[in-house]
Amino acid sequence: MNFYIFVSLITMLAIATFLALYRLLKGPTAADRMVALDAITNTTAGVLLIIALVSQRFIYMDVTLVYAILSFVGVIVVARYLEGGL
Amino acid sequence: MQESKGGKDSFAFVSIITFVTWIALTLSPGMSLIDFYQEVFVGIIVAITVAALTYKHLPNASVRYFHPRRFGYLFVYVFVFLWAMIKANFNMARIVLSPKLPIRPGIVRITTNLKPNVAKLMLGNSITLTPGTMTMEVDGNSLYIHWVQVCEDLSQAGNIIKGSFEKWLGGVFS
Amino acid sequence: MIELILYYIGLGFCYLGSLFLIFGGIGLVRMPDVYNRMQASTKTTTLGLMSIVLGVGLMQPLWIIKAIVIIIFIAMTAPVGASAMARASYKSGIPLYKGSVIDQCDAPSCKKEVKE
Repeated sequence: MNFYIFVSLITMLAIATFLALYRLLKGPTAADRMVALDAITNTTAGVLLIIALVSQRFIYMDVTLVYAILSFVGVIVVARYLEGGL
Repeated sequence: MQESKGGKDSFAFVSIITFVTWIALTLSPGMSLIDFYQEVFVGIIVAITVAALTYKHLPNASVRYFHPRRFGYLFVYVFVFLWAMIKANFNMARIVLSPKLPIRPGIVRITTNLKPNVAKLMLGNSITLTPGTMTMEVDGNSLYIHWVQVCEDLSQAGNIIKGSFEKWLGGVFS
Repeated sequence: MIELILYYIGLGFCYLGSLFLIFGGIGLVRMPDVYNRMQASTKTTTLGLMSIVLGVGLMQPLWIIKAIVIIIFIAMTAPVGASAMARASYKSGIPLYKGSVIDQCDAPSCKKEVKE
């Protein structure tokens, strides 16, 4: 994979992460932070996929799958906590 | 829908689903043939074990779900869904990038006539990923939808939100 | 030859997905209340991630099966998470944006808990 392609993709994902990070730090309520965290985990999964492509290792696809599962579980747990059911 | 009370039907259904999931998760490129046979063998054992432990708790599952007509409806539904999702994303990008933020949000209540719970779940998921709408709660046969651009005529809200999903899902789960 | 074509198509999908993730971030910053932020963020990040996965699967054709598994998984779980978050915010009493036109939510399971 070309170096410049890699750098441009990672830069775009970094911009997305920083925009979500602004909301994570500033968000007035806990729900805002939860939404921002969800966006950040999705972006991180994208970064893992790009790393899989650069390093040519299939194992990062499995890492991405497990990461997506854990982020889903995390979102559900925080949502239950905000509802007061935990 | 024909009700079946557990037994062999749901046992076969659960083991087939588990086996397909196992194979899809363990296949990897560059696998030797002996590794593949090994995965198939372990997959059969795991599928039978899981089915034996859980089939009593899934009394409505049945191999009759694998009717070819359902797969036809599912195929059409997947393409309708993908098209709606792409439209939703360009719509959302337009809203986000326009300087004045043309939003008019609100929560509306619509009703559905789908009966099975799985069908309601899939309708709710489809609504969440289609233009400007998000399911908040499903209660009985009414769905509570958060909508970014509420239309003027609320009696048409159900038709606009559901689109043709209900027809295809009704075919899948009939 | 065909591999080169697939490579460039996959690259296009990767760039499109990254672009949608940036749109999600912009929506997250600009939208006025938590429900609208949720709409902007969940829709665009879901399609963005699916598009990146598909792009990677096309650039490495042997990985396409695992890529499809990940796509199906994301398509099934992302909306469930979004609905759970929306209901949790409504139940924890976060008000709608003041420009909202209508609120028909009267389900017994999402009664607002009044907090002092």
